[in-house]
Amino acid sequence: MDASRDAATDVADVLIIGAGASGAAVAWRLGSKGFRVVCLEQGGWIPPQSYPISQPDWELHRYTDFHPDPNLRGLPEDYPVENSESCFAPLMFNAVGGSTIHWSAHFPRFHPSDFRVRSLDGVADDWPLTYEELEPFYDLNDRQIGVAGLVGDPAYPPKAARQTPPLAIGSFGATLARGFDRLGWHWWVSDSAVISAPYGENRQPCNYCGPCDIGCTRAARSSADVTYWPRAIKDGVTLVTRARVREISVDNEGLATGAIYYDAAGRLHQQRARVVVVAANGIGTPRLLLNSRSRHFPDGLANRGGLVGKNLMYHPFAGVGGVFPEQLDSTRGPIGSSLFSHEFYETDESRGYVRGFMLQAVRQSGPVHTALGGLVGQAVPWGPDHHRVFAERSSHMAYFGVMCEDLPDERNEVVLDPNLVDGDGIPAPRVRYRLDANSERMLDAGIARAREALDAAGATEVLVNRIVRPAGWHLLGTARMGDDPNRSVVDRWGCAHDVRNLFIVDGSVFVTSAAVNPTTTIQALALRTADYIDANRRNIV
Amino acid sequence: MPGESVFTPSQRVLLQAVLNRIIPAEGKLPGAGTVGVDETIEGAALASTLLRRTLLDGLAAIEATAWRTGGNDFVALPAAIQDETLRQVEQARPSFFSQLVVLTYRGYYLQPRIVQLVGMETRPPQPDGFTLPTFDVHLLDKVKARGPIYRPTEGP
Repeated sequence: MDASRDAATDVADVLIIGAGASGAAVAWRLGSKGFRVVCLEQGGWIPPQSYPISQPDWELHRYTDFHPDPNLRGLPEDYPVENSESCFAPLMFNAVGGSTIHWSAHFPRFHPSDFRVRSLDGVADDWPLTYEELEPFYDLNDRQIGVAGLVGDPAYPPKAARQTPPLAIGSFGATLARGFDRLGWHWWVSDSAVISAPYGENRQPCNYCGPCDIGCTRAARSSADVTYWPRAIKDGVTLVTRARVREISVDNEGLATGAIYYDAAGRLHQQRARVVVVAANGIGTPRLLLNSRSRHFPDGLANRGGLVGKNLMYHPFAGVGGVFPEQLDSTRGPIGSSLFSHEFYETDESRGYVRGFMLQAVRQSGPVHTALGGLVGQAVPWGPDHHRVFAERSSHMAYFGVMCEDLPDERNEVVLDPNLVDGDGIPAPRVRYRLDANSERMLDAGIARAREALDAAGATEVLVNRIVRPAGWHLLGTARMGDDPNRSVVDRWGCAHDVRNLFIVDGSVFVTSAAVNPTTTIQALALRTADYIDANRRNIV
Repeated sequence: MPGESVFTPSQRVLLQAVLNRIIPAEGKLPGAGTVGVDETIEGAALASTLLRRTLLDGLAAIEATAWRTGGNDFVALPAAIQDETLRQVEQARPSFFSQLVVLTYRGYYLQPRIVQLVGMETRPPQPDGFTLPTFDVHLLDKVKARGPIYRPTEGP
């Protein structure tokens, strides 16, 4: 180990593992409260100016170094994920900012009912907190990062004003909205983690360039690297990049003492800390815990209950695309954040399934994306019809992502692969996931409703991808939260039942998935956990 | 390395002919085999020995199928028979064929001249972006009129 960095006095108050959405929020909050915080991140910084969206070959990067699938991106900071037993491919980005680097920034909150699934619908479990308890942290997070949107959405309780006005939806959005209105269905302009007007420092408002998934050179998108991290570092937080954690260390009493990690040259280091906060996403976190074995935790850290890695949830996701006779401005504006419908969000058992889904409008992108089929993945046919079909689809399409609630199932899990390792020899994860009957019925219903909405909007042809394999953006449930140590890994504050100075703050802690993108809820929970650590620092730190 | 190549001259001619059927010439739009897409595919094959093998095996399969289907080299067959040949290979070797189509589309549609000919924006998205009209909040009047639709809970 590098002794110069491992001096006995180099003990942080709090060590955070992972500099993504949740790690960044905790770093800022605890840094601002005077804690000595160190964060270890296996990736590096991506300066906003370096994103490829200002380069002539910008589209190619979506399929190479900015591919959302780490197995296909294969950068040095990526680790392999064995996913042949999963119908969805897990997606993530390893950098300062984590998966907010390739984020489309659609930012809806949970509904109040999402915290009461067991009580209301007799399936899954209730969360150990309510929407009302989390609301102040939703608001705090929104103020810190900047959200564009519009209050008054009848699908939600009243909310605090958004920081900037709603993003424009163009003819793309107006066309879809007309379809919803003809059907009498709910729709609303999205809450987007994107600023539409000046907000914050060193950021410019969105200029509707389109491919948020390949980065934002204007820092308009409220990714964690341009929102929380500059302030956290200003408040004295130490962020160590290219630091890949191998395991969390424990002492003779089974308390966390810090982390062992490799630097970019493969040298081993130790960072000691009084409290460890894990923020490595719903696959990275269980992987790390399972890799952190000791005599106190032979089956992995905080895993006495056997639930670390279990209950993996994504959001079962279908893509449905409408081809329109008129040209739309469908390549202009944030690709994944414009408008949505929660008409079928809340449970109605007459539909034949429980829980519900969201229809999220998704835009088109450049010519390569169009040719390869966009969200529905149905490439323009090769051969004599190619040019005709390309012309019919190019800037003439609008997609819906059908995002279904995923119910927890212990058979869906993250385990350590017996053979696969990353570049430092650390055992890699394997994911096992299959859809259950409720999800299958819900997907079919969602596709039918999306088709109906596109027909009502004037689509002349509808294309469907029933299971979008590269849709594992949301990695949830694998270190779930609960009051009962026999049925959860962490308590209602994110503290591991087995290790009183170990906290988890990423999507792993989710009890249920809801049917919305999780980042705002992840960050709100992270801030709530940070405030708990602060309020109880005498006992914990 | 400069000067490295994957395809022999006859393989390149075959590949170009195949590309011209995957994206044929039509009007002002050139076929994919005439605008250097073979070179971008070769670049990808130089970077991946697995892809290299896949493509070379695939080209050999196309030629074998051409002889079985049309009794001649692929490049000598009429367009309709060439298309039938490729459909057969697509069925028999779906992984190879889909990779070839993806590489063809990428190589073709990354060319600014092609992007201009298909009427799409040739400049990258930044720094200029685009302008969209401000969102009209009155579009939501009908939705607002319904009132709350979220499911009530008991609260904390």
